[in-house]
Amino acid sequence: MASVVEQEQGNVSTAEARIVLENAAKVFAARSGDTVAFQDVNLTVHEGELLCVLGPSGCGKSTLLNVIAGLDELSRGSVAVAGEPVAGPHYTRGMVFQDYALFPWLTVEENIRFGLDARGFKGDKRSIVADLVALTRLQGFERARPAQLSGGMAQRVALARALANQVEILLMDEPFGALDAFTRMEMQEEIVRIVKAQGVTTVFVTHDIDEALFVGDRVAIMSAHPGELRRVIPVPIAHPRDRVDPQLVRLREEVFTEFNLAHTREQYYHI
Amino acid sequence: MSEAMRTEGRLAEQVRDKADADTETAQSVGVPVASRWSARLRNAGIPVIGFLVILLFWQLLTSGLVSESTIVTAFQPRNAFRELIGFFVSGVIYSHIFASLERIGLGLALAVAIGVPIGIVIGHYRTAERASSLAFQFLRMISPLSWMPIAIIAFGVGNNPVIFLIAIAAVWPMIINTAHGVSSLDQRWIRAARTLGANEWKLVRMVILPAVVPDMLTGLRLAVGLAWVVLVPAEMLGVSDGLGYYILDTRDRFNYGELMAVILIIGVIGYALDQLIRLLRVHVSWDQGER
Repeated sequence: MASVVEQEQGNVSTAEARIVLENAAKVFAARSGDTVAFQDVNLTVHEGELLCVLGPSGCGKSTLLNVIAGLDELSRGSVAVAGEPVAGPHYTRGMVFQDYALFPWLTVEENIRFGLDARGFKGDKRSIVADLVALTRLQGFERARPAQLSGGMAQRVALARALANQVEILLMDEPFGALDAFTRMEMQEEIVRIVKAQGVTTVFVTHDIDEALFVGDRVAIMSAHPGELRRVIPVPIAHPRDRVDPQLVRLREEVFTEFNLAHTREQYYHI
Repeated sequence: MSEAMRTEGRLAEQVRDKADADTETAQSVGVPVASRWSARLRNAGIPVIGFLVILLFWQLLTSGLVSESTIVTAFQPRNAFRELIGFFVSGVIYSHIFASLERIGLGLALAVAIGVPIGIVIGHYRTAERASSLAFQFLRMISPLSWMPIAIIAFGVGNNPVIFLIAIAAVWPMIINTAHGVSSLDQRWIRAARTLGANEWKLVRMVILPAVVPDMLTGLRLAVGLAWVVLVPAEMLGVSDGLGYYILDTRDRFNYGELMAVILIIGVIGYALDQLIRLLRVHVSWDQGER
């Protein structure tokens, strides 16, 4: 269990464990041979924490998220949420997808309300939707259709839709990958504001180093082929963060080194 | 998807493309108003010219140039148009039109009620698709009219066998297009709905059904075309009203002007029904017919 201790070194939170992955592995069987999405993953996400999973494509980070969501099953190991093993999707674990996955035949309001309608929620749906519209700053767009929205707006709707179920866990799969750089930065600030206001435990998957360090309370670094969890780096900087915070810049160097992206001058000249 | 189903899917896409082209030309944006009007006139003008050419041929073939027989000249356009006006003045045609529309409405309703659920199951479950594909390709190629004797034995003489024949003609495009829509459904919607707490039934009602509305309307457009074509011969047996019946009636009365007038009415109503579904697809469907 030495590896568990090692991976958990980034744990600065004393809050209780919300999501626990133990020796988790996912293998996709194919005729041409098995593909390991990830293996030997030991990871704990704590209550109220915003954990970023950072890694290149092919490191299995999206599959990891699907496993927590219950959309995919583990091949080995276990995944538990609040002590209960994950068995299929549940409305308390909301998901936000990279390409929004909004329902184009519904208005913004109806999209947000979808989860409440789907599970026959009997409470005051209207006030829940109104609160979320305000929280995600979608006022004036309630009756719009997804096709009329910009990428940033569409992702706000997707976020509000996931939150409407009063989720305990929010899973975000490269949510800003399709946005332009400026909208992405704006949305990064928004997501921190909204997630922290709701106090919801969040797993945020990204391949953007700066995004992970700007958004995450901790950053879990994964490597590809096969997907493995290398280490978890805490980001002990209070939100809202300054993008040019010297501490952030230092951490960035650390992450670069971790991915072998940092070259010393000599190395550079040898090439 | 089997090969034939894919072909049908392509056909459906062509119908869609056609619908797109139609709406695009009607909505060309950013063009000065005057030239837009002239473009619109040109758009409308060419099809009208084509129609006039057909009329000219009709006139030439029946004017006595080909044959001087009075049977042939009785088919002349001027007789047809005179009888056409007569139909609406006397009102004799209305009950036949309504009888035909009622049958087509009931037949299509039946085709939708049967075709959509079957299409959803086939599109949703790969095993169902494989189990049904051979049988459906076989059944689909049988002319609906071949069922007529069986329909009469099963349902007796009257409205019911006609409605059955329309339904059996129209059910295939409904099944195939619905199945195509379901099987090519965006999987992200399914995954999103499942994480939002939708069970299997809610998934069908809240995601799959609304998502395939455009495909169902494409199917309906093909179904209407087939149903309208089948209606006329189906009405030639065992019923005493409807446009198909009336064609035989005019023939028996040797009134060939009226016969041609009925043919004109059949064409106009068929065209109108097709346009109605096309408009429905553009305005009701969430993709505004843009797929």
